[in-house]
Amino acid sequence: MNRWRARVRSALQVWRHHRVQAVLAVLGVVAGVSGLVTVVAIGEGARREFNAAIGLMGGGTLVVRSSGAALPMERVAAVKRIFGRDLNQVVPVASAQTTAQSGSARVDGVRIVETARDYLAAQRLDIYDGRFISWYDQEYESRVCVLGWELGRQLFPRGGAVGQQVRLGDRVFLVVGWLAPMQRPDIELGAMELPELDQVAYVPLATDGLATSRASLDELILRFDDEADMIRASGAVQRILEYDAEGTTFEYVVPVEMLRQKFHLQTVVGLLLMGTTAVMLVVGGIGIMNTMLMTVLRRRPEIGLRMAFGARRRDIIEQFVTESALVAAFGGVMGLVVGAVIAQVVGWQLGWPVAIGLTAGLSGLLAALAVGVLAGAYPAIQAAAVQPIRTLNHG
Amino acid sequence: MIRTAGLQKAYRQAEREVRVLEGLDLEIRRGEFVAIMGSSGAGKSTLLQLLGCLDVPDAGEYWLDDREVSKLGPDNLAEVRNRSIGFVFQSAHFVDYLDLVDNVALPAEYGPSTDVDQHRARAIELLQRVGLGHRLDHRPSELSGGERQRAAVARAMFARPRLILADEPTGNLDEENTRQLVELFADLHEEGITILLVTHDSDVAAIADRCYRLRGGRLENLAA
Ligand SMILES: Nc1ncnc2c1ncn2[C@@H]1O[C@H](COP(=O)(O)OP(=O)(O)OP(=O)(O)O)[C@@H](O)[C@H]1O
Ligand SMILES: [Mg+2]
Repeated sequence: MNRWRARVRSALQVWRHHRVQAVLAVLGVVAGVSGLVTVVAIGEGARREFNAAIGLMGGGTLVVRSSGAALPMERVAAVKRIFGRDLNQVVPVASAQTTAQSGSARVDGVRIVETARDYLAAQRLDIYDGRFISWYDQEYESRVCVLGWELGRQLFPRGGAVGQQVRLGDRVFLVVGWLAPMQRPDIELGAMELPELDQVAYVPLATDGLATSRASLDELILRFDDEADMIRASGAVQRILEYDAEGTTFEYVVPVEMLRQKFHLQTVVGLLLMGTTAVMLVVGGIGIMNTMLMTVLRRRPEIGLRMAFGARRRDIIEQFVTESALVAAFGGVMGLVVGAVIAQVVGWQLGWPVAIGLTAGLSGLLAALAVGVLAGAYPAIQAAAVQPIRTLNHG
Repeated sequence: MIRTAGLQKAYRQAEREVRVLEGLDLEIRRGEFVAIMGSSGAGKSTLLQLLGCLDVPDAGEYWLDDREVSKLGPDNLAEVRNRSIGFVFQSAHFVDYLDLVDNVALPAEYGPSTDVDQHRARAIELLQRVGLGHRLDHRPSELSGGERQRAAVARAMFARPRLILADEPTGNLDEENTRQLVELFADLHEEGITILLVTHDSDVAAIADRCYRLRGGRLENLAA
């Protein structure tokens, strides 16, 4: 440990003495590392947002949407029967828009979602107060409702919504729950419906519901354990739902796929940049190797002198590899700074999420160190082959 | 301290062979001060390189402190150079990016101890002793020829070797600087350090206990 501290100290002194050479030697590494940091920051940013969005809606989610004709309820039951084991949830959804009223408070354009108990888990909603729709509510088509955060605040500005009554359209419901504000990903989730601004009321799916009859739905959310299960099942689901349906086909939305589409450009750009970055790192390594070879040539007397005072071949190799690694690490740090700036500008200009964190920093530094060690190895071996008697005698 | 028997060394260069040492015998006892003279090209530096473990002989035996050095591998030779021998070269080489203190402490980089503060303290003490206490943080290139040679002596003494090999240390110096350096060697001799000094200058050789001339690949005794 101490020996390496001495090596690093000595290497620092070398490069402090030859600053211009050090800077020229590492230009390539700076370019390579800044490219790498940019790539990783873009990739990492995309990955994090992707994961956040997936976490919110579940990777195994399949949304079936009616376009025109409603989804027949008995087919939904068939899907449930067949995939019961793989399927986490089947959530029927019907929706409508109406007016909500409580006392003197009145809100227009409220989205009414007629759904079942599992909707809460399927959409990862959180309860703020009270409870969500229960089995009992579903069975008996209770006249109860759960308010979205925003709607609850609009109707009951002083709070205490649970236990009150609201009028939705021409019917009166008992408020049994109030949802917390929704955690929303920054990105547009496409066709995956997220209730707008929490201005929504959830009611049990009813035979004579506000939206549709209980015999049909306009949306069905199927949640499988994971994406693979969902892909495997999707063909069969389609056949069951559309069996003998004439002309009426449904829309199948795979939210994960939509997300992937959204990050497609980032992926392609990342791959292209990765290739360029690799080339730049190799060029950077050649730059360092070149400088190191010149250094070794110029410092033959020093090498001979060190040998005369007890340096072994291995000491000389370690010395020059350390110098090379150190100057490369210095280039790596400069590359980190430049790369962080580039990534920020790219993210800001293109509106891409970027994540300049540990992953980007570490990969940049490690790449620089690896380049330094590799580029320094050959010159160091050359240095260790110096014959002290030839360099010390006359000169 | 030193004993060689039948030491041979030749340089081969493009089919031509230069035979430098041809069966050289030498014995130096602990604490002796021995001077070697000889014309240019006689092989004085070659002999010093062999004795200093910087090169290996083609044939012959070399014993240093009861160890047969001619049988040691490269790493062990490096250790001998580090612990047992101090070099002073004709043209004092230094590491140009280190200050004088670090240059004098250079052997410590390859020694067993890792106490940097202690190394620097010893280097400073040695530099003060050779009259360079006011040049501690200077670069070697900022020193005069005489100062450089005195710094080189300080460096050779750093690891407390019992043997110092000096190859024409006064070759490039004026009278005053030569005198200072010779006094330094005389002091070291007083302290019991074994010294082998190569020189062209018979005045310098005069302070030695014994004096040899290297000629025809062998040593001839000269009256001291
Ligand atoms: N590395 C080498 N390769 C080939 N020949 C060499 C080498 N080193 C020395 N020689 C030759 O060996 C002979 C002895 O050289 P050496 O340097 O030992 O002489 P020297 O007595 O020290 O001379 P000087 O007083 O000029 O320093 C010379 O003829 C020299 O040309
Ligand atoms: Mg010589």
